[in-house]
Amino acid sequence: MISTAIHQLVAGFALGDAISHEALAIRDICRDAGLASEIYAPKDRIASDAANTCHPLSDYQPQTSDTVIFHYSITSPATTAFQSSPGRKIVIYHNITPPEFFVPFDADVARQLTEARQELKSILTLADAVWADSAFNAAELNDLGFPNAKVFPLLFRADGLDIPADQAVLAKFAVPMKNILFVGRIAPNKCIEELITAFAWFHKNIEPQSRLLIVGSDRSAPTYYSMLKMYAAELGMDTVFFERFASPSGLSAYYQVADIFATTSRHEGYCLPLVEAMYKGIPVVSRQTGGTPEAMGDAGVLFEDLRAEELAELFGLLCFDAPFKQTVIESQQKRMKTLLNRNVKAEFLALLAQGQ
Amino acid sequence: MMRIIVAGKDQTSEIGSELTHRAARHQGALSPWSAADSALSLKASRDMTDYLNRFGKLMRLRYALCTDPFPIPGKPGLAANLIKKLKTLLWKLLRYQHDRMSCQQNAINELVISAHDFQNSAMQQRLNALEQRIQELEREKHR
Repeated sequence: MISTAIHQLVAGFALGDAISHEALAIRDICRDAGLASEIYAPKDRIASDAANTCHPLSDYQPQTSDTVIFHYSITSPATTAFQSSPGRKIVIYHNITPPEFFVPFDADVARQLTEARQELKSILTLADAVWADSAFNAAELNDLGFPNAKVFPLLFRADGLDIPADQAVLAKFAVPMKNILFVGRIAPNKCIEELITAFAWFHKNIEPQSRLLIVGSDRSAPTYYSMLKMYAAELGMDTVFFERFASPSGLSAYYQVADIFATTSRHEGYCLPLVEAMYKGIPVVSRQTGGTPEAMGDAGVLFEDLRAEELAELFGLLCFDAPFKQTVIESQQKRMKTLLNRNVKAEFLALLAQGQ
Repeated sequence: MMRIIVAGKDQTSEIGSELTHRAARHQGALSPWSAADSALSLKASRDMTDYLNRFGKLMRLRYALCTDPFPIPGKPGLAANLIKKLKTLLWKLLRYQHDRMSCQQNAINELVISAHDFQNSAMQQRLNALEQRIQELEREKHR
């Protein structure tokens, strides 16, 4: 049966969040193709500024002729809605953060992540098609006994970044300093404390006129966020700025003032901010982990097993060694050409047509 | 093992040794605290209760504002040098007022932490009494 509607279920929805961003992109592709398409999430997990974009799960009324796409990364009431949908079912697997990262900080989230891994198999068994947003994630599914997962790389849309920068943010950081930027959820798997340590060495011994800007929501682990605040204070780092969740214009401003984008995350399914930073022309440094090599392609700087002092020196090279920085920037420009030439609509519709 | 990939090419041998060589200039410790008293010790928490206990202990160590002299970063050039000297002088002049205010702030911080500890302790006593009462009631029920 040909679907007349493609709806999506997500565990939570916030503008600026990578999965929400992808759901929006898919919704727009579906609508362009003449299909009805809405996004649903549990009401208490829809950000207040997204109430007009995402509908409460209680409004979801699935029909046999519908296709439902379930973005999976954690347990939520959306799982039950997916299971009871009578139409064609597709799962997009975004990876599940290993629960051990959360154990010291939030037992409830750790439990949800453990349960998510336990229920994953049953969800995949129910699905008519399984997609993963990176080959790394597809490999995990293969190990679970689902070898047919199709890779549909996480969608990047430039229009969200091509907006005027927030003037308040630009004014706040108007004094010229070297700015190292991190964008992402403040969550224990991101290992932001390692970035703070590297920055502290950089600030102390290489460039005292420098800042570390940490941009991202602290809602998923406030206890981890408190640890980071305490740690930055412990190192006497009064130029570490915790900027919390940024609006699209705010994000545009942070990218505008950044000299380097850096992440020391130890678990990533893909990591969209790496792509965003490359698009904005900022040299990117990332730990090689999970899906980050796929997001980076042959661009930027990937590292493994660098001590904090060595990472600080790498920041120094990117700031002060012009030919090195140029090599990195040029590689990123090439990577962006490839990503921007991606025909997402054709790719999506082709995947959708498979097995229909 | 160290690995550095630049623009898709493994450059560990070229860049890695340079980074290691340069990193030798970073001497001393960054944190004034021992590993047990560092904020990072929170990562070893077994659960939320353990986290809260550790957090409370770390707060007790950190209630005071630091008023030690600190290095004021400068830039090259005569004007920048003069600005740096002015900042240093201002800091010395303002210390008299600043130390008075930081003393007051430290007292407030310590009282807030104590209030939190007292409240926590009272809650814990109440919880223990309730748990004991539940056990007694369960025993009576099974008698």
